[in-house]
Amino acid sequence: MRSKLNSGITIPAAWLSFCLLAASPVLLAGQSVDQAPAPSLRVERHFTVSHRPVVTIQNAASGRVEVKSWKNAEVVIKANRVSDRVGVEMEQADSRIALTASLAEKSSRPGDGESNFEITVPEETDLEIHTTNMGTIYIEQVYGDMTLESRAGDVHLKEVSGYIIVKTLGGSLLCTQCAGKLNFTSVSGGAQFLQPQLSSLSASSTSGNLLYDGDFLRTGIYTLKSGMGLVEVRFSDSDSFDLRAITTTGTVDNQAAAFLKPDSHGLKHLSSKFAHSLTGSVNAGLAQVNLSTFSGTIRIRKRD
Amino acid sequence: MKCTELERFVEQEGLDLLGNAQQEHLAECAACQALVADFAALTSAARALPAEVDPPPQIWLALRAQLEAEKIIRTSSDLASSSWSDSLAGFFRLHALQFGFAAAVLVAAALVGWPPEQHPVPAATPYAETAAVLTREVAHVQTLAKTAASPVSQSLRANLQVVDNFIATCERRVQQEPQDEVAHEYLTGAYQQKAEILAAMMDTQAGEN
Amino acid sequence: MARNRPAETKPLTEADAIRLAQKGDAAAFEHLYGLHSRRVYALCLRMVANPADAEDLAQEAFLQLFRKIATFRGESAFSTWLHRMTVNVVLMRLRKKTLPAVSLEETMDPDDENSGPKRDVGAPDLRLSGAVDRVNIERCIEQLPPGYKTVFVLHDVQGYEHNEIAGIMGCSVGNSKSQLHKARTRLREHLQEELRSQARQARQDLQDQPAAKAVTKSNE
Repeated sequence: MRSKLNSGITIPAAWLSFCLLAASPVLLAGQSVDQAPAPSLRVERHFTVSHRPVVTIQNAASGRVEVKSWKNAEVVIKANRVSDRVGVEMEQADSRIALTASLAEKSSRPGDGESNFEITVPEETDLEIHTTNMGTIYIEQVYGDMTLESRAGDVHLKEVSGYIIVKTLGGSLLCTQCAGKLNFTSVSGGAQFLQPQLSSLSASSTSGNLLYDGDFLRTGIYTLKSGMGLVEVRFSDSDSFDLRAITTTGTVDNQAAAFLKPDSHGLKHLSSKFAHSLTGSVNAGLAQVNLSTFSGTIRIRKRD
Repeated sequence: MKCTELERFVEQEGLDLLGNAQQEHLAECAACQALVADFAALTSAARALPAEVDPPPQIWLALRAQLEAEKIIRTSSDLASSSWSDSLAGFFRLHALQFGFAAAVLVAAALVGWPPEQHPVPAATPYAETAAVLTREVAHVQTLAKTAASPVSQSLRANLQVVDNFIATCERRVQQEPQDEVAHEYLTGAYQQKAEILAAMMDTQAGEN
Repeated sequence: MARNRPAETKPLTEADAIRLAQKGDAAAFEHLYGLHSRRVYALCLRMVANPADAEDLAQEAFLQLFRKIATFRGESAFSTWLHRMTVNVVLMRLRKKTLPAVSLEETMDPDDENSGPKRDVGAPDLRLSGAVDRVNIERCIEQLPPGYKTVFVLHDVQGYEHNEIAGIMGCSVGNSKSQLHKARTRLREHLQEELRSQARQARQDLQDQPAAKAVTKSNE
């Protein structure tokens, strides 16, 4: 099953008529076609899947990619394009669904290269999403392995679980109530992990700020590293973790000194003469928290 | 048996299990004989092709460098050794090739009107070779800087500036304190990010033209 | 099981290597790489026919694998998991290209009603037996659409069985068989055309030879 919407195919008369009809108000108004916004082109496709599907999205158009889940064994893709400059291809091979959005040619019409996608998938789905433009990736209540790559757009995850890899150059990550294992890297994008239930986290950014505000799970390993940005963790009374914070030229702002004891495992940490470091344990030290910056500030706070 | 049935049988059961019914049809049908014979010939030729090929050694070198940088491999490696910088150079070259360019990514310090000024890395430091790799290869980044106007291109340029600033800061630190392993780690990561940004810029440029 | 399985190079078993790799052991990663890199690289090379791209793809496949190794639960064979990742990486790369020859249309089409062998009316019936050599078949494999090429390489070149290919490709066994059949059919067409082209060229070369012209002239 396949839907091919590129302008390379012969345009049926009905389709041509639709385009003319959609464009007619613009023409009648006497506006130049080049300056007026193009008519919206909406497509919806349904794919039946039998088990945990793999959905891959390659999006060169700007616009939002939104993925939500439902209990049906079906993947539904709704594409809302601003113009037919955006080519959309969808294909299925058993439980692998591939969506590709490409830009056919340049246009001077504002927002012409934009296309928004709403994808509904089974709750357990593996995702691979690559956006090379400005669009946001939004994923909610999906459980599976995910690889999300964005150049300039942000990534928002809500109640997502699995092995999650997020890579951006300029986009930021907002991760709310996420679980599983997560790996985030960015150049200037920051990340916020709010109410997480992550058992493993590795987050790094050259200049972005990183915030972890949530529980540290027993035996979990959490590494937050920023070159020039702020790294902040907030913990509660019930958390139990070993802390190692190290910065080369930045500062360590320990606002929870009263709760940080010498390492509960009796380990002696050799401090580096090249860096400012802070080590200690909160409660029994059952998780491991490693914070690092080059010149940014490291802040440790206890939630009230 | 019809030709369609024989072909269906071959599709489902393969060429090695042709039974009496199939053989009877083949005895009478030249077209199906040709099909079976041709399939046998091409599968035989395919089986003669090597199923395994020795990969070039730089794949593992680059892979290992990346795994160490991401801390997936937990081992203390000598960051100052020349063999490490060789593998890093190989990584940059291979990573950039993913966008089909023959040359690796870089930023030439002589980009016209492109602040900030690159701090030259003394030849004595272990990163001199890495920096030389980045500066030795192509890119039409200069053209990109002048012509690219899309939001994505602007975002990439801004990110490149961030990384360049950070590289300069780290390089100063490494010069002052060559034994500072943390600074070395950050500098390594920054070089990798620079390579990725430049590869993305070239890919974006290719898409915009 | 399939032929050409990679031999164990060290006493360390694959299961042990996986366990150690999940803890970050460098030697374990190298062992796993050594076990599987030749088949992975061969697969990439067959799919993109460009050594530089194949290197990049093989590296990317292993990188993705090793990043996720902590999540490997042993539910499928490790090699199946690796090859699945390799196929994903390759197909994603091929989708990025806009070459019209790289068509994904014919990759998975279970409803194809094409029946019976194609009969090229008027053209000589070229048999492939004895005429297919390595150069011919490699060139024709390159021309296959990505989905067909993947299944053909996995089955006929690398020797995987259909149930293994189904695990790698994320499709059914029936689908794997169907795609292999279509790949072979397409390959057969390419090879026949290749041989026809070679035969035409050979006849042309013969006519162009001065001795042949002299003989022709004397026979007029």
